[in-house]
Amino acid sequence: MSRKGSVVLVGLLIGVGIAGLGFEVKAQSSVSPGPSGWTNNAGVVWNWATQHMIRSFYVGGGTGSVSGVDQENYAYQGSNVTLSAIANAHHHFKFWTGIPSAYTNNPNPTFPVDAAYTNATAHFGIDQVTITQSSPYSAVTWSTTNVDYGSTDSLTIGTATNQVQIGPASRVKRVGATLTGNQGTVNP
Amino acid sequence: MVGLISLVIITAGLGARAQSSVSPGASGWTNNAGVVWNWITQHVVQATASSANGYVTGNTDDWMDAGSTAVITGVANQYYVLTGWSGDTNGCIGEGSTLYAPMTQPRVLVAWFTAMLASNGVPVWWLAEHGLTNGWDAEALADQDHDGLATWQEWRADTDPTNACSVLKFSAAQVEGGGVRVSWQGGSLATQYLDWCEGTWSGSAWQTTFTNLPPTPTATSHVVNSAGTTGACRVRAER
Repeated sequence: MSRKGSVVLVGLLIGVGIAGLGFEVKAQSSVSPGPSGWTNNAGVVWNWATQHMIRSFYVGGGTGSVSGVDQENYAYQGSNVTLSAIANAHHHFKFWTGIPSAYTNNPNPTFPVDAAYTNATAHFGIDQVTITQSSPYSAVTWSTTNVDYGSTDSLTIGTATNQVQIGPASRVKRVGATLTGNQGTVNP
Repeated sequence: MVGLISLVIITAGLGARAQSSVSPGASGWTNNAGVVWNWITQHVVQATASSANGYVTGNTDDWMDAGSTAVITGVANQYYVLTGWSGDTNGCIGEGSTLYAPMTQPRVLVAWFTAMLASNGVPVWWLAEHGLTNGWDAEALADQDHDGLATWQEWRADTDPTNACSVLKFSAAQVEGGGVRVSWQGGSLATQYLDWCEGTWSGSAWQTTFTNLPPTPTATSHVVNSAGTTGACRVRAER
């Protein structure tokens, strides 16, 4: 946790902190009396507000942003911050980690800052394409399989048998396979 | 280690084939895709000859793709002809000795052959067997051995058309008991009938009194019970 302050009275120069000890060095603040001058004993009280750091990361194919924080990624306690997860092309948002559990499945959650979230991570995954294999006769080695978008993997295909008897003197014989929906070749 | 190497070689020799596979194009898998196995229907066609007088060639025992056409040719032996086809011939087209069978179903086909015939139904092969090859019809109508029977008649009686001693004819007749024993000679593969009629044979009704089924002896006799009446005998042969 870090603190930053501001001055509510002006006129009297007041030193605020020493660089190197977790404080920021700012222009000198001051406090000034009213028209009657300093006529009473007085007190100057510094006011402080708590801020928490919100830092986000993006893994697996996406980017994003955080709104509701300052340039140094700090947000006041109790204020709302909004995270944004944007998937790259042919990728999709999966979930957040490092934020309150009620918001992990929302790609653009808004939640009140009650603590520092320095490791808010949006997880992305590559899109999948589905490849089905079918045959009007005989079982196939697999009927549906998924591969990553853009994958160049070859898939092994096959049926339980090469021919099926459909009558005493009639049969069907496997003669090859056809690929539809995607460019490619079949080696039957 | 040597044993392992041997096992690999044996496995390869059994015809193990590479697994089937599907590969994407240069862009990889970018769309949902489907692999559909293709099958064709096949039917059996079997064609045979009905006898040893010919044979069949072509698609005589094959698995044929549905929609294709089986082509079968009937080949007759010398002196025989193809007369037709039987079996699962629906939809088939015959052109000459060739049958075109669309493979819309399994088919069992039989080619039928018959002997080429000269005048009066004499098989050509029989004429050729006796060296009578100088015009089939003329040879069938001639009496080359001058025994009184034309060649076509000798075919019916199964006698030798080139041997005057081989002919269907009575050889003897003598009274025996209340009848007459008649003797005749002929061939062996024809059915012989001994007919009898009372009175003169002209205009009378012939009655078969004896049937001699093949194989017949070349010499046969039979007693005709004439019951003391006058009559006539004749012997017929047919096949």
